[in-house]
Amino acid sequence: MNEQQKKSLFRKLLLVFAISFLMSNGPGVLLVNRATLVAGIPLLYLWAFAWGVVQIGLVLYAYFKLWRHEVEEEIQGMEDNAAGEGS
Amino acid sequence: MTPLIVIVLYLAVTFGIGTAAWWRGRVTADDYYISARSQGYVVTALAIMATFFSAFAMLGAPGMLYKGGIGFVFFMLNVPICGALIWIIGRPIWRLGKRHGYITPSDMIADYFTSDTLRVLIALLGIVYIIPYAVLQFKGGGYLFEVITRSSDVHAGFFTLSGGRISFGSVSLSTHLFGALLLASITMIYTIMGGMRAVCWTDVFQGGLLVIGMLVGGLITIWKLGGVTGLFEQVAAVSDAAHPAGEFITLPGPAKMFPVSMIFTFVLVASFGTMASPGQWMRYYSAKNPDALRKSMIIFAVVLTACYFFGTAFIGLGGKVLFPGLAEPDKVYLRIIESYLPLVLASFFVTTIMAAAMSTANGNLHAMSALVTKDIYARFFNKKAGQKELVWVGRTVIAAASAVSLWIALQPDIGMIVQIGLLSMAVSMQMFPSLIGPLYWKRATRAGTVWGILLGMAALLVTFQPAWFGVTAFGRSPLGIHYGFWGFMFNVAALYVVSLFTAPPNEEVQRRFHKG
Repeated sequence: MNEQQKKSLFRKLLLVFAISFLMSNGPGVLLVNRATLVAGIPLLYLWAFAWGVVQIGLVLYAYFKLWRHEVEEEIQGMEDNAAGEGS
Repeated sequence: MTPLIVIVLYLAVTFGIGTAAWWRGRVTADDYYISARSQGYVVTALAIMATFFSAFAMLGAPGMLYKGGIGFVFFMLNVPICGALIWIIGRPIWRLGKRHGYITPSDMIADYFTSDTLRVLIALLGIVYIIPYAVLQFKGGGYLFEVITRSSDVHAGFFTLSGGRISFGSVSLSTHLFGALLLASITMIYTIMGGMRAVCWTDVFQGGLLVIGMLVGGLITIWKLGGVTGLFEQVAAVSDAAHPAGEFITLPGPAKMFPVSMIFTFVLVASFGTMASPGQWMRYYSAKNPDALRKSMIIFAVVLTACYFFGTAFIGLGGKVLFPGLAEPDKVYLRIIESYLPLVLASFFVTTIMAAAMSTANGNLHAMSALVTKDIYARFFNKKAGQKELVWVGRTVIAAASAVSLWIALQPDIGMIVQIGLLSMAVSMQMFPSLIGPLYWKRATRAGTVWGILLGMAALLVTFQPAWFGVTAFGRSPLGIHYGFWGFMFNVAALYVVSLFTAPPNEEVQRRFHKG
């Protein structure tokens, strides 16, 4: 993945995260603001939990798809620098 | 006697870990303040978690659920944001710190903007954040010791523990005072000795304890209420003359505590404010490499979200069913463990709350010593101070800050400090826009950042306590927007506008900080 693709993916993930936050903690929560139990669990609790899972899922996706390569490149760069200083 | 033995064991293990860290360390400022940038991902993750979880998470948060119902669950969604921030801001902070040898937050901001004014402003914001936090943790420690030993009746030689007093011969103290003194002393001594390494190593132990404490507290609650559905069905049915059934599982909840505007803005204040606080900032510097931060992000986001949803939420909401008439909702977790566990286990779980208090206090006191030593002493009083001198000045600052915090915590009326404590996160959030220049926007200027902080703080104080300024047109958090977020909006607006009319840092500085 080149720099441009990484930036584009990061922006998309950020946008989805922002939308999920608007749904969980913003006006979206009013869609389900009812004293209803679904399978014995309050709708609002399930709503918050589900969006929490989406947000953690986005972080995990970025972890594997985006940031792992950056870390590998950065650690490689650090090792190269250290080797250069040592020689 | 049992509670005393359990508490002494917990404190002894914590102190032992702190001492081991001191043994391993070196007397250099780099090692003392940021562990020579050597912490791996387990230590980094648990240290960030333990600093994040204060006594509030174990006492105050369940209390908020008890009082205000399910709305507080939405505040828990600050955790995934905090997790992402560990990487999004933590990684560039780590990289710049390693490249330029930074130790404190002010080092980075002052270097980018070439400004001692900003160095002092950032250090002051950090100090205003830290002291009330430490006071509240010590106060919590005293309170816990008092609660757990109130039924003790021990007489052994010259030692007596009975009736809320602890005596050594003719010296007699209240258990509250003794508990606060004990917790503060142990925290202070190992932090002074081992610096960041001691803080992080003890945080690993304490972080593990508080995760166990929260999850087991949740399990006990659902066990007593017939499972998860049993718990929620009974919470949905909670009602009295003032509160109809179902109010506890809808927004804004009883007493209209959680309007949507508040859950939206407070979560942003809590996440950005906490993750930009000096203690967390220095944990980013102390990571061994970016991989430690990347893995910490995942551990933090997954483990803490689970703790909140399956621990805190169950304790607070279930507590409302189990103990409906509590005069002090903050005690709900203590009531649950006292009522349903044998004394030895209940004592153990009290130590998990102590762990939350100590792990927050130690990190913040340590960060404060760095701020005062590096940003004030070494900059304005002795520019030629050597490594050993910087470490010893830092140790003196920790001792002084601990003593002052303890003294404040022991005052009979700390209403004002509680008010300031409420401000802590909001104050810390005003540090966040100062990162915009060094990390993201080349056009940000020194004047813009200074004016942003000053106007942000002014807006924050006015919307926090309008009466202090003779304002009667609105109350705290106008329009249901958290006062910290008002400050943040003014801060960013001022930074943007003033930056457009003033000169940014020169190209050489920008090249050192920005890629491309």
